[in-house]
Amino acid sequence: MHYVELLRARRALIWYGAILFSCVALGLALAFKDGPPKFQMSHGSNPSIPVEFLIAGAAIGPLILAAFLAVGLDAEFKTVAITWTRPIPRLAIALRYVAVDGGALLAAWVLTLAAVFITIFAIGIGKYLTFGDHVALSVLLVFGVAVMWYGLVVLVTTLLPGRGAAIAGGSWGYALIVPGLAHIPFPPLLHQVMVALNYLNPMAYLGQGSSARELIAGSGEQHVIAVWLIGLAAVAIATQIWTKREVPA
Amino acid sequence: MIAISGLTKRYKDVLAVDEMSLEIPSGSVCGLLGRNGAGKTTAFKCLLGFTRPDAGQIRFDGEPLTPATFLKLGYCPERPQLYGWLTVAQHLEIVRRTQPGYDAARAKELIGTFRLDMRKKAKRLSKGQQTALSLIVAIAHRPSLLILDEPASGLDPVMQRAVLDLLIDAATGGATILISSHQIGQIERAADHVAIMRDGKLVLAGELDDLRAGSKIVEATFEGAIPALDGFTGVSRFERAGLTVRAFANGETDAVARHLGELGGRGVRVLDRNLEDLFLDAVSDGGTL
Repeated sequence: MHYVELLRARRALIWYGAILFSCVALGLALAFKDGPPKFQMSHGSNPSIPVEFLIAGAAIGPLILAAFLAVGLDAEFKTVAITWTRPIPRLAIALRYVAVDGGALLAAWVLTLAAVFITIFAIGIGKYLTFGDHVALSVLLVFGVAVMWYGLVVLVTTLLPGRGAAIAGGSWGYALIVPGLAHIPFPPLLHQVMVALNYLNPMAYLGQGSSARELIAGSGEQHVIAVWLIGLAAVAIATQIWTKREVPA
Repeated sequence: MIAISGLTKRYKDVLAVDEMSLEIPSGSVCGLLGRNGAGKTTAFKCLLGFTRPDAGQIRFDGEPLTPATFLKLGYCPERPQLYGWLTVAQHLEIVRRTQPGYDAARAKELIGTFRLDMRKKAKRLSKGQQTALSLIVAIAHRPSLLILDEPASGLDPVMQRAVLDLLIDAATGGATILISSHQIGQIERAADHVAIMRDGKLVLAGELDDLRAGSKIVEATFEGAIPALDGFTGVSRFERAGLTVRAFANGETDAVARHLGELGGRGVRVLDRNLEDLFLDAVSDGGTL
């Protein structure tokens, strides 16, 4: 049954890739409209573009796809006459779905990163790229954030069946609004609730700047462990629930 | 063989299936009949593991339902459950990838029979074509056990006939088929066993020929007026049409015929009952087994 998810992921990646590279092509066309662009790097004598920064930025790809793909398992519930009548255990069906989605998230991240590097080298600022000590940590964090987002959406769609699209869309609202709420001077108890909500907000772990440090306690390594644990636990619970679901009356 | 024993399913206050027990011998076609809401679809859901029964056992060829059961079991739902965004060919590819017994030649033949366009997306198919595709997905791996929930609904008469022929072919090939339908004529042509549900209970079950033989219609015509029809035993109900009375007798046919004659009935004759009579009798308020 993962064939269906393969087709769903392929369709999502084609659309995402087409839009992404169209934007890159358009951007480059505009940049080169009056000849090769000239950039002034304003970082003193040692201008640099940290690769960690690009890696984190490229997370937008898997994050967009995570919400889209995470509703696939819930959507399968509308076709149980096909999905659940295969000679394959339901848990295996669910795990294959998750594996396909994981591959698609990785592909989306690679596509996005490729688009970023193509743009950087095309406009001639590739020479400013610098590799810090935290590249591996950044990769793990970024992908963990996507896994966490995916896992939480899968879990919520499994708990609230038939509302996949609304939940996927709502996850973006949650991710973007909740950090802001944590900065509003609510009464202490409510403020703590808002801060706590950010621990379930994948985006809150992503920024390595000051806002993330304020919202989520712990080091970068602890953030990596947290996002992977939350994501994988959510996926594990969701797949178990999915296999035990019943078709309503 | 499909064996159901004491199957019970309750949804909150509603007893959807009430201690249903039924055996469908290997190689036979069993028509499951009942009015809307009788519990047929719920029984199917329990059979297929889509919902957990509150009590009872279900065995397929002596074994409980496991994923491996679906190697030999095909299911066609009441309403087609297809991937609207996938083509007919992609639906067949799902079956090919998941069913080792997938018969490509048979699938192609069925696609031709139902005149489906392999490149067309399921959402672009007519309702009847969607039903046909749903049926093909259910039988493309040549299952030996088939559960079909109104497989001919939405099909035109020609396609309905094709579905019927398909079932008869499968049964001839040794498949065990459990089929529900509101088209009693179709069931009568294809089934050798019948089970009738009413309010979640199985009220009539057995071989169709035995059921027909076990109950007859005794018809008589009266002159002037129909007298009070008292003193009959073994009659489930009477039908009146003008001065003609039809007594639906469960056995004791001779006694019923004699009594009608004693009441002044003329031209008394005994008729075989068709499945529709059996069905109406079983689901009517007075109908019990």
